[in-house]
Amino acid sequence: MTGAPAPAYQLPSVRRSLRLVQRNAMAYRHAWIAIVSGFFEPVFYLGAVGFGVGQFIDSIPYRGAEISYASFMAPGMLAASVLNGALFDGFFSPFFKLSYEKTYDGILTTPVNLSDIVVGEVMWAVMRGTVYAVGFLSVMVALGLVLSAWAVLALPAVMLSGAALASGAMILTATTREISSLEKVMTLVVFPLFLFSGTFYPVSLYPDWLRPIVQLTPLYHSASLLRGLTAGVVDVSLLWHVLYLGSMFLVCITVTIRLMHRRLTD
Amino acid sequence: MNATKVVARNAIVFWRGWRSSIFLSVLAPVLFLTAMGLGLGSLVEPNAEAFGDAGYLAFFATGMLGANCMQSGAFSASYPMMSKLTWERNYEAILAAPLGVRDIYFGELAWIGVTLAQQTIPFFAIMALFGIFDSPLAVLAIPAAILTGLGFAAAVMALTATLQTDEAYTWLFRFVVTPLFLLSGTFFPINELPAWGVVAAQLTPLYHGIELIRGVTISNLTLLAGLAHIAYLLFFLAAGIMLGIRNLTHRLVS
Amino acid sequence: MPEEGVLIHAAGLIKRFGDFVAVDGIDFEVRRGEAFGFLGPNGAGKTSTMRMIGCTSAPTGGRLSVIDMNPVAQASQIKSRIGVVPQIDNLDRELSVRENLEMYARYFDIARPEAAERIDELLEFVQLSEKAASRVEPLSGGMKRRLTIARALVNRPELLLLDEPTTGLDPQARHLVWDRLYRLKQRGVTLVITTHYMDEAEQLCNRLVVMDKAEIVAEGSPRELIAAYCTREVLEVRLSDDNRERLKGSVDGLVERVEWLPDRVLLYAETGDATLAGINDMGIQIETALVRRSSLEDVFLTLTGRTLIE
Repeated sequence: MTGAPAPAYQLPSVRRSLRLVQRNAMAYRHAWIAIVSGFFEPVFYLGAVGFGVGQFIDSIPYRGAEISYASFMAPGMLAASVLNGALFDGFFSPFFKLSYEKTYDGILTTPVNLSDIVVGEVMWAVMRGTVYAVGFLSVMVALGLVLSAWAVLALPAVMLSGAALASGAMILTATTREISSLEKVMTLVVFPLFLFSGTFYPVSLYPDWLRPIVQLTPLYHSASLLRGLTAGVVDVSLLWHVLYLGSMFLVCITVTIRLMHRRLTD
Repeated sequence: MNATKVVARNAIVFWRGWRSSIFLSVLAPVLFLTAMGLGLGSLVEPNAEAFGDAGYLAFFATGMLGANCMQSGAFSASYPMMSKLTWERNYEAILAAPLGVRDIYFGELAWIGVTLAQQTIPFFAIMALFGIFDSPLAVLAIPAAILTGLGFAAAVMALTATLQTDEAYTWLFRFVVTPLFLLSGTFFPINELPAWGVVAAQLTPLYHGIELIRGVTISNLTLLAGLAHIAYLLFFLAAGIMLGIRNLTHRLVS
Repeated sequence: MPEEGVLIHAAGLIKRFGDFVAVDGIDFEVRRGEAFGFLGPNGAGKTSTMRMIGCTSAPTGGRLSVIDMNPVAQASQIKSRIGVVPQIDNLDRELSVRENLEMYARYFDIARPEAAERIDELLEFVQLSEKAASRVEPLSGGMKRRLTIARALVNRPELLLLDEPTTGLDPQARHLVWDRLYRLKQRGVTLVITTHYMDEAEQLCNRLVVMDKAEIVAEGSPRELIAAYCTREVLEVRLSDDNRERLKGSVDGLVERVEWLPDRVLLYAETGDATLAGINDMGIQIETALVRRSSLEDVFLTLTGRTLIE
């Protein structure tokens, strides 16, 4: 019974991680409008930009096929909305719970441990993102923007993207100390991601030096994977995206668990 | 006037982070115009009838100049103001010193104006560097954008003064600000909307702000039309101010 | 090997934060069914000790066992058998009162029907049944504290840790909390309380240790400590500076001990009235006089030369 050094981190369990999902669902029962309204934003953008601006755009050459601008942009919007959700559920919300409301301190006096909290928040982000994706994909189908049955795999692709992006966002939670950093993160990281990742236009338009840089970033892979599936241009290269996102998830969640333990251990 | 004291206080708080804030204000439009110029700009087919002779990038960027001010003005008057009003109770402390509600109101509004300028001027400068403007009159776009932004700030301040929790903001941003942002002619001319949409858009403030901005920069605007847009925006601002002062007084004094 | 009936055993327990030593090699034992107190001023090391017992902070050195388990290796198991009421409440502000308790039951894997029963009982016990649907924010400080206590009892713990349970509460709220804690003690729950209020320590604790500057300076029951370190009564007097000087000159032999505080003088004697009479006989004028029983505050003063509340 000596004062042994604390282990690097405790192991999460699915059962305990789900408690965080339950807790968030309970909390959102009071703020259901925030959940429901989240569905509308990407749909609005699809309408205004996909169709409004799309009027003025000829078809887009996409990997050998020619598709409408709306069909090109819609999966990009879907990926962008997953990123948005991942940022909110993986960074903003946990950051407030951690630093301001001390909600996690309360949970940590129970058998639910810090690793459970990290995994649980990512699970919640994935679930919420998937719910929105179901809605958005239905809208895409209704508007004739889904060009192939491969789109069925878009849902697991969304879940994978959500897991990768949310765990990435949680690294920010573990490392951010002050709320003023939020603005820097949004402008220096998130904003460029949204603009440059092939969401609104193909990366083939980029000069040769820029393209490889973009291809290292996560939103690019998520958008490309989803686009390949909904546009029906499916080949082995999509597996690279899956590999990227899968690895990103595993790496980021491990790093987050380590960083959170270091941050909360005294 | 005592409102300057409110501005001064905000400036002191802001000044501590000014370097990164200005850097970000310049970086954001650079990134934005680069991406949209490279991207959408090359995809959209030239269409002088819809976008004017200057091309889509100019059309879009001028729209964004106004839309940015709307979003920024609306945001500044929402959460940060609620924070001061409800959560941190700054105003109760300030009112204890000899400042009236009007001073507080105009001080805050003026400060929002300053932040709008701080964002708009770099954006405008970058646009100029991209060669979007060809007339010195284009500089008038800056006050036009700020006027638009202030109108929305005043409107949202009037709302904030009545709120106890921030739930209403979800509605505001998701269902009012975002549709306005997307459908007031920022991305595409409102003629593309169905007939009822065109009429509706012309009743909203952002449309007028954007028309005014485009008028002095890339399209031909008659003096009469220009004055009409300005009148609308002034009316919008005045209404917001009156409501705002009334609500704020009710909130702080009674 | 800790004996039967010992819930917490600490030997040479140390907690360091970098160069700062918060807990400097303390020994203590908490037995099942008792109410055990850590009495000391702010910064004495009480909260650090509590956090080690509660498994949220690892000891830097020494030995600690809680319910016969290692708080570092077996934290999860210990947490399921104890309840913690922290100094600063960390209730879930996005949930209602009842939902806070419901989620806690879920964190402890308590089945829903069982949980529902316990929650109704607990809300009754802390007198918050009417506020069950309320959010946490609008509750008063006392109500939030009671909710935290209810929450800490959801898993029917054998051991309840309370860190400064009534700090910041008004007198009425304090008495309500004391009353609830007393009932818990009667039900057999072992309580460990930290406090800097001597009345709280005297009222609630069977045994306590006095902590100051990371060390334990005394231990025993309240009565034992008072008997060991103080006289039975204390005479508190306030007097003018001249009379104070006169008193200094003539007080030896009159009383067992004197504490010269900035604003008053404490004279420790077997009976205060007799001492007061003695002072009057000497012709020394006093402005106010108060005779009271010795308290743990006096014990602390004797041991450290300082008051509990600075």
